[in-house]
Amino acid sequence: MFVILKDLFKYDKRFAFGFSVILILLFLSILSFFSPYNPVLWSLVPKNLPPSLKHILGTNSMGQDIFWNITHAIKNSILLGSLTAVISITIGTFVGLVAGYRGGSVDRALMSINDSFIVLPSLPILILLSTMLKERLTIAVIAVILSLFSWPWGGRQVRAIVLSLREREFTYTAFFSGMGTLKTVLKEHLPFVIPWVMANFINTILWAIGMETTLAIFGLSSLETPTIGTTIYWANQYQALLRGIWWWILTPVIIAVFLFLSLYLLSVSISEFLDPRTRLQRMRMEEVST
Amino acid sequence: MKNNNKLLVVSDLTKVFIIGGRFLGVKLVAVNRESFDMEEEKPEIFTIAGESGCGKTTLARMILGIIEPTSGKIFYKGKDITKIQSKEDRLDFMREVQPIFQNPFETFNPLKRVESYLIETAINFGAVKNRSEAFDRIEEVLQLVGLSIKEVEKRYPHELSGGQLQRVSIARALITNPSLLVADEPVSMVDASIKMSVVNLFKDLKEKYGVSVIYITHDLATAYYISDRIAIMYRGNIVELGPVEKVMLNPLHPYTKLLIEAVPEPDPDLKWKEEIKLSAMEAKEFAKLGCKFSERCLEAKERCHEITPEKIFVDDRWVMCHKYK
Amino acid sequence: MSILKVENLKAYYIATLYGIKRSVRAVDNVSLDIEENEIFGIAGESGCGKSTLLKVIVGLIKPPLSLIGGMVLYNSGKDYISPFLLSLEEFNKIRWSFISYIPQGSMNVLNPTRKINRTFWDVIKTHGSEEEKKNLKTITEEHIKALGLPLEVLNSYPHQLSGGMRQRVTMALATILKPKIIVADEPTTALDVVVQRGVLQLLERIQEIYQNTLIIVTHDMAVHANIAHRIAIMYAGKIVEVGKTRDIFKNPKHPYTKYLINSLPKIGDKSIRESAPGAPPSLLNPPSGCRFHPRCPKVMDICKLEVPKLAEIDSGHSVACFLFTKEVEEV
Ligand SMILES: Nc1ncnc2c1ncn2[C@@H]1O[C@H](COP(=O)(O)OP(=O)(O)OP(=O)(O)O)[C@@H](O)[C@H]1O
Ligand SMILES: Nc1ncnc2c1ncn2[C@@H]1O[C@H](COP(=O)(O)OP(=O)(O)OP(=O)(O)O)[C@@H](O)[C@H]1O
Ligand code: SF4
Ligand code: SF4
Ligand SMILES: [Mg+2]
Ligand SMILES: [Mg+2]
Repeated sequence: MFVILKDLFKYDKRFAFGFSVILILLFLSILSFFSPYNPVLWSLVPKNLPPSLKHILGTNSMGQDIFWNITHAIKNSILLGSLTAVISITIGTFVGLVAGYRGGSVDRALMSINDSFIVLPSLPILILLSTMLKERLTIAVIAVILSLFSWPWGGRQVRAIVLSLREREFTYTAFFSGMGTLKTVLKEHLPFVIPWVMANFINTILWAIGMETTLAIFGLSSLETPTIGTTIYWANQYQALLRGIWWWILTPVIIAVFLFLSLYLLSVSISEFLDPRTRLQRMRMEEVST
Repeated sequence: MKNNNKLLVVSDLTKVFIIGGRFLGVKLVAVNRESFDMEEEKPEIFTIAGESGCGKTTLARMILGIIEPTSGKIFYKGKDITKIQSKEDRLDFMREVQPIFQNPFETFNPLKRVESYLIETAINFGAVKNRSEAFDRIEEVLQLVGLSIKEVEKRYPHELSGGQLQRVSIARALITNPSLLVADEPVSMVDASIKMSVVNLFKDLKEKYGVSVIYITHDLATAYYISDRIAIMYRGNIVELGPVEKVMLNPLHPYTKLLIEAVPEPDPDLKWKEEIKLSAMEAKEFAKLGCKFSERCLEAKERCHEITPEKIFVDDRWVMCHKYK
Repeated sequence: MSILKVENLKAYYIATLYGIKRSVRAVDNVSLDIEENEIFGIAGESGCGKSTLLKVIVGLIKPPLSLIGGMVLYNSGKDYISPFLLSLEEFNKIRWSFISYIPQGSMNVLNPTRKINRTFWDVIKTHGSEEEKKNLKTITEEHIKALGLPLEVLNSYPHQLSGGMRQRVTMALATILKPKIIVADEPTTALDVVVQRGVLQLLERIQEIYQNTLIIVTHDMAVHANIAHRIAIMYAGKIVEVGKTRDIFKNPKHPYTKYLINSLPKIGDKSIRESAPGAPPSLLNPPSGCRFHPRCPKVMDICKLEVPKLAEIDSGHSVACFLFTKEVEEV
């Protein structure tokens, strides 16, 4: 695993960039645990100070230190994205594997549930739900709601992969080697699905953070919890840009851009690296070069 | 039908595929009420030949139990295998009948080491008690196919040649001491230099170890080289079945004649002379009434277009043609 | 008179993946002289570089394939031209009308949404002369008739035709502008014997009618026996033997060719056939010296060090093997 990461880091610039940025952002989110200020309290520091040595990213109109505040925001956004990804990928992969390998009526039943979620218009329903739940919204609740809308895509894709694998000759070899259903799916098919799962994991994080940011900008998220989205929301509410408090709005926007870009690059380079076709090609190359 | 002393009895076997949807689809009879059998006492290599799409793979997959027949029965050593339900019975059957696949590079998962299949087979079928015994058995079967464990150990499929892989595939199938191998085009994807070594291996297995082989191919030259009996299929039917010397050196069915005649001789002194006639659109032929070959048959009479010919025993072989009635 | 000359041609696949740069030496120092009005066969095992050689001959060189050295020359009647030196425009002009290429698995190239005759007209419109453009309908029909194909195929969509008929239509298409050279890559592989025979019949007929040169690649020796006039045997990126079909089959010289010929089974003959031991080498790092040496029963010391040069040992029969020649290939 470590060797793979090292290789990727060395030979794939996209990965190197994405990975470094993510590390920095993770570091920042860890810093939040050492924050001298409670992120939900106001008026802890003087308002609207431009960046200085004392407050390196300045302060906002609510009397909060922007640097320490953004560390919480990054932590919460990443937490939200990962939580959504874990829930939705687990459900999606499981449903896809079972539907694909068992086929028949199991497949039809699972896929009709799957498809009903796909055809639901996600944004309007999300807006409706968050308006209704407004007071009770927490990171966990948002993650669960977002998962509801993202697992079916994964489910379909995994199913398609397994369906095509099921007809490959090696699946029959496994069958005639006396391997049962579960063993075949886990040992023969999962290795083909994993690269996709990993790429999709990152994509789901990306999507979830983006979704929450969108909702938050409209004021439809858990507004007390600092996330990248809510930070932008508050900055807008106080018309930070118009009033020349650019450091307040620019910080979350730049962080968001870097976060999205690096996650995207990571997902592209990992899925390329783990694609069975290039993986095989690489194995062949390594064989002759050693 | 008497099933005593029969290794395999295929009786009235039919497979119908519905193409293009449950309700509006057209029926395609891939195998049409076919029967044949193989003796238990006398191991043999039984070839099923015929052009692409004539139903060879479908027939083989029904025998292997991978797809369910639409109707008809298959008995293996007297037991109806289309009725297998329990996992134990399935394993018992697979211990006896094993497949060899067409593409050696696809037979094993490209992301897994090939030996894992050998170990799985040895352990899952209870041929051995533990891993070290498994390796003894694996070494044994690898030697049978002219390999050794050193050449195979810790290797991924892409690290072995097509010929080596096809041998490993055969070795894996032999672990459980099967009585019957079903090989669907085992040499169509390997090189000429490898082809003969694989084919020679089948011959050895039959002669030295009494393993029967159903050899499916459209390579008639190798079919002649190794098999005892041959069945020629055309559009879902076996149109001629008998000893290979009879059928191939003196074909009776007009389609067999055409097929044998079309095989190119690897000899510049024996070039083709006359021209042949081909069908332009073959999809229609599956649904045809009467003899399915009648559109292309030079000897077709009126009844050939209306009445399906019966199978008749002439000169040591079965022929499905009106000519010999 | 030779219509196509290949001189010391080298073409490698060069790929870099995660820092490791590798070249597959698919065509390595190949020279050929192909005569006007002949059927020239190229035989060899899968992966030995046959398709690559054809691609370079017709000038289709795209990354990762790259030309390392050597020359390909066409004899246009007046002078020699090379596909490597032509501009794209000039190249498009001679494709189809002077040299026509039928790639491997080409029966699937027909546009599924266009009727066959449309596809023919498209080719004439883009590559034909003014004269031909005016008469495109009659030219197409006459061509199909001359080749003995049923006229109704012109009015069909590709999916309505059988695989064998599609393959023959592709051949008719490739020859519509009566090229001087036709290059066909595995035109009969994956077809049934009966259909294969129909396709080969057609190729012979085309060659007979238009008196052009046909270069045909296949690993099926029986096909070569039936239609080729001369055969080149390729092994691991190199030509190891060239000769008249009869000489290659009746009097093979190179140890590899001998195995190839003697391992062919025949209907009516059940005597034991042996094939060459071992497996073809990887072209990523081919064996030193003679590339066949790890599998050769007659290997000598020099074979492991030096590369034997393709040299004429009889009139029109050349072999690259130290059993017959002392000549060493310059590297
Ligand atoms: N799963 C399927 N669904 C629908 N039609 C099928 C299916 N499998 C096979 N067929 C059709 O049944 C016919 C017989 O196919 P089969 O694969 O048995 O032929 P084959 O003799 O093995 O041919 P080949 O030499 O090409 O392997 C063909 O027309 C094929 O298109
Ligand atoms: N795009 C590519 N990149 C790298 N290597 C390649 C590429 N295409 C082909 N090769 C390699 O080049 C060698 C020659 O390939 P080529 O397709 O010319 O063989 P061939 O003789 O036509 O084989 P076949 O009979 O299978 O068609 C092979 O070893 C192949 O693996
Ligand atoms: S039954 Fe008639 S059409 Fe069919 S093969 Fe015999 S003679 Fe020909
Ligand atoms: S040069 Fe040497 S190794 Fe090569 S074929 Fe001739 S004898 Fe064999
Ligand atoms: Mg088949
Ligand atoms: Mg090729």
